[in-house]
Amino acid sequence: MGDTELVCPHCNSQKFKVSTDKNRDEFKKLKGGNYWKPLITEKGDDNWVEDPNEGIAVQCKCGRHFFIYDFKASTPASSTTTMREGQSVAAFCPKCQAAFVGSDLTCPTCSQQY
Amino acid sequence: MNQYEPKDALEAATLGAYNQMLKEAFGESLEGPAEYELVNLPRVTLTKGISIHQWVLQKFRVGGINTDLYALHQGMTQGMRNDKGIYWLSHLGTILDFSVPRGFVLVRGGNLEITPLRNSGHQPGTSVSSPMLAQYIEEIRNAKFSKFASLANQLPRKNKYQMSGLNALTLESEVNPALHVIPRHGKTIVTVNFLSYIPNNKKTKGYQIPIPIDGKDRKHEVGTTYPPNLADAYHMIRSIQDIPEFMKTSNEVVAEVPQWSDKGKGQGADMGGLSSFLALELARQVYDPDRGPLTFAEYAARQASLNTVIQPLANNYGDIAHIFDTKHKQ
Repeated sequence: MGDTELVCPHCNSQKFKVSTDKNRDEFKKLKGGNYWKPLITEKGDDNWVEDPNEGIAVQCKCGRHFFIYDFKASTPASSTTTMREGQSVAAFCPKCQAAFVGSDLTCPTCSQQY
Repeated sequence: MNQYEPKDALEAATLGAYNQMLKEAFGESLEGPAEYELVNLPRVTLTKGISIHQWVLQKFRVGGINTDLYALHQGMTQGMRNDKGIYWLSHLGTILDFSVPRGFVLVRGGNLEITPLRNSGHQPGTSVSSPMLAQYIEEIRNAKFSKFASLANQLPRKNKYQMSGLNALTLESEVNPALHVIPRHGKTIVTVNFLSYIPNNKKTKGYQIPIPIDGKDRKHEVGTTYPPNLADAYHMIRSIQDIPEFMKTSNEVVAEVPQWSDKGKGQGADMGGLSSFLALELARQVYDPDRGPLTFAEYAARQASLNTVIQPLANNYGDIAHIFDTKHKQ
């Protein structure tokens, strides 16, 4: 209940386990990968939130990111390689030594995909 | 804003010092002379404990970049003596022309970290965010590798120059001057609190300009921002200014005004003249868009508090107490 096992859609080998709250439709924790962070979701003009329940970005040990959505108490969460509309996330490009924010994880300077 | 014609020797000397500073900071990459909006240039009278403030908004361009940069300076005289005065000019901030949403982040010097500004009333929960804020946080998370962070860390802090301390720009800056990024009110204000030339151990580091006042030629030691600091900070700011279009928000104004910290009210939310001026101007845009832009003269002429300036602007709009409510309401 509340746990979903996922595989990184990029490398198809790294395993992840995402847990949702047993009673509420809320993200609880994620096992696996390098890190996760909430997506930045636009709520209106000049209004953004970082709320994991709106989706999270996960960096797999293979170096690529993917996204997990739909933290429901009763149904499994889903993973995808594309963010939903109105969302973005920050990442750091070590090659360009600079952070960037984008709706896909492509460094605007060197076009490296993360 | 136009090229300002100095009215007297003091003004000419003051502008000369600013121009000199820009020249030293940017050399040949400076394009043409800076433009100024001046207010309240000091009328120096020799009374005890003289302290005359002056605001200068300086607009300049560097290196073919199509962005006007504004520097806000505050000058004050201090320690006027019979024939000698010290005139401080301090760069208070650089206003960039992109906008990000409200929220508060302070990038402190030393161990780069982000903290909400204390007592600001703007302490967003972890969930309030913006793309730009996320980007800054990402830079700082990766401070070891980040160009931005390394530039920020190179900004001089406590060294042989005393910090200007002219203004409670932010409370933290008193302790650790560095880069402050303050996205709010639909404008991002990046203030760089510089160490300025000021007399140190009776040795003056600044320019010396004889200024005739009341018929007497007085030697003024004009201290300005240490030019290399200005250049460093400027280039650092440039490095983060090229943000993608989608990150820019509309210019819609959020009418939240920081509370002017009255004496005795403790630390308050006084962000210093720069942001309170901007806040006032933004409030004017909201409440009285037909009125001409607020000038520094009006701003400087305010008497008791921010209220006295903003009330006439807002008088047709009923209660304006909410503007001064610094608690962040969801």
